[in-house]
Amino acid sequence: MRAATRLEYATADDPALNYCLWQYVPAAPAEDKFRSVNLLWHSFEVAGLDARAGAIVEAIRDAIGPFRTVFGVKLLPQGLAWELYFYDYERQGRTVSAARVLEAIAPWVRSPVRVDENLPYFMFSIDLDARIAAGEQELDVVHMYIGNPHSQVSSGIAYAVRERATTLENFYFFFDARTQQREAGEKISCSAYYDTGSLPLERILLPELKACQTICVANKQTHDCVYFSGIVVDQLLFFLERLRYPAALVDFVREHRGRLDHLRFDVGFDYRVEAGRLVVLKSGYYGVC
Amino acid sequence: MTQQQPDAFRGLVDGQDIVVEFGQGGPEGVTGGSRIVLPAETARRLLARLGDTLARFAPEALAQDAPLRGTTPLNAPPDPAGERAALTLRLVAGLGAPRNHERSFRLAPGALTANRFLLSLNPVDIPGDAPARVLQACEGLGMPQAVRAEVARRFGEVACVHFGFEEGGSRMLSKLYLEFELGEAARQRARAQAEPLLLHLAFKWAPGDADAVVSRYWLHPGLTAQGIAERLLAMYPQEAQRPSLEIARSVLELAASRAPAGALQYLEVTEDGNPRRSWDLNCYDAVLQLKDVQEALYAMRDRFGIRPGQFQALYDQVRDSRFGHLAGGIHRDGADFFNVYYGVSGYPRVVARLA
Repeated sequence: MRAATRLEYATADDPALNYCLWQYVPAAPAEDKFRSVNLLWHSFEVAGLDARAGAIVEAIRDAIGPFRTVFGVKLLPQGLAWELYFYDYERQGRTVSAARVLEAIAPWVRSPVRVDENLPYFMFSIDLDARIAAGEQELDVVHMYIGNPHSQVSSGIAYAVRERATTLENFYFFFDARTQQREAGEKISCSAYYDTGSLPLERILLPELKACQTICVANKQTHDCVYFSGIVVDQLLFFLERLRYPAALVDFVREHRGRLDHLRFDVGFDYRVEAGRLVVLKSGYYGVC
Repeated sequence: MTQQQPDAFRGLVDGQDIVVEFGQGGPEGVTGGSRIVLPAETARRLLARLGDTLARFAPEALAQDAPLRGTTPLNAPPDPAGERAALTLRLVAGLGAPRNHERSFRLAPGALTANRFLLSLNPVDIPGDAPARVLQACEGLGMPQAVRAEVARRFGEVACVHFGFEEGGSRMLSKLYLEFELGEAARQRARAQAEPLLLHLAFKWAPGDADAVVSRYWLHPGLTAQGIAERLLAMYPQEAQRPSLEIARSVLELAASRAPAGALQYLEVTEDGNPRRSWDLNCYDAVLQLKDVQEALYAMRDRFGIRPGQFQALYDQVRDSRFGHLAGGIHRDGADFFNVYYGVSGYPRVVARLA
């Protein structure tokens, strides 16, 4: 089904949720405007993804309900990819479990991964790319996120759960963009991948995006990542153009700006600083479906 | 504490503490009283205790000259449409027969109405004097006397009755459809002569009406999909109606691709004395869900200028329901419309012959 024929519109009762499924106050009245899921549908169409991708998303929504899945549209050197994130802060009392989601998508996606549901994860995510959507490749990893008790900063730890082993992946640290911007900058600057003398911090903590609600800094195995949460549509346009997203994606947001201006978006990019140059490894923007 | 009874207070947050000052209210605010500083947790407990304590006092007892407070009515004002719909459900349930329940929504220029349903029963399942009991239910719904005799006269030919309710704009309509038994011989004759057969005779009235609108539903038996398409073309003769024709055709095409050959039932509807000319396509045998015809539904939404958020709120609830009928054409008010019927369910079970 073409994206244009499956566009969804915000109702008066739609929740406004960010990429952590935390509520936010919409930037403008929402009714009759676009739901953020339209960005996902459109990205599938731009990428020429198999129709199974849409069926996978619908199956998940049918299984766990609407507005419970966070999607990420990623731009990698090899093209577009996606990741679907699921939160249940009840942890072991969860209803949204990896087992439940994997069962829901089983008709389209094979996966040998089994997550121990006794573990206190509050979030997990699965990757979706063209080959997985087409059924040509199984889902061989589930990313599991757990908390970081007694940390002075809101934070989480991510693991890659595979059939035969679980390995440590990333650390995430959240900062209030208004009151902890200095701290966020210090966190970015304290890195094995960033010589602060070689590149101004503003190249990472972008002035155009740091006027947001939350800044998240992630330490990953070979690089770092920064996320800007709660930006408005014009900031999203800046991000898409700055990070050189496909023109079709940018044009869609620009064309429908008036129908997207109620949403607050979340974006991020993975990077290393090499010889004084910012190398963006991948980036992404997020929404809820 | 001062001896004078405080009649005013003010509060403020000081770091982690809640500060409440009691005193006398006046032009300069709260004066001459006491100041209490509470940790937030203590304030929270105090609030809970105060709430429990004050619950023992009726609001009017707090002060004789207290300003009037807004009161929540014990029962919300009755909604006429809700009451009428509930009456319909109650009267039909009272007939004591298994029945099917089918919902629908209507799209028309600038309007989306979804408070509509049909209840279908087989008279042979109604205990006792079925015609009399059906008429009694109709009387309970205010069916005009002028048409009750016609219902009684035709009841012997009836295979099925359908009670309907519809709320639209400022009007509510009650409906009774008499569905006639059409034998195979009659169907074959009609097919051979390319003549329609009267399948339903329907009576539609609003509370207090002296008369009812009478609608005739004409079955065109044995039409192929191509034959139905040709009749739809005749239903929309004007160029301005072409988008509605395309929507109808798209649904016909999908249903025909999924249903056994000849399984789609096509009716046309006429009413005496008004311009209604409409059609009804039964798609149950195509085994579709509403989301399968999403493109057509969105096209209807856009054609009639219905607010997308309003439509989305309805569609989110019904998209997985079984798609039943699509009706369309020109209504008695001269407006282009579509009715979408869906999700038949049964009490206590779905009666297949009624579906």
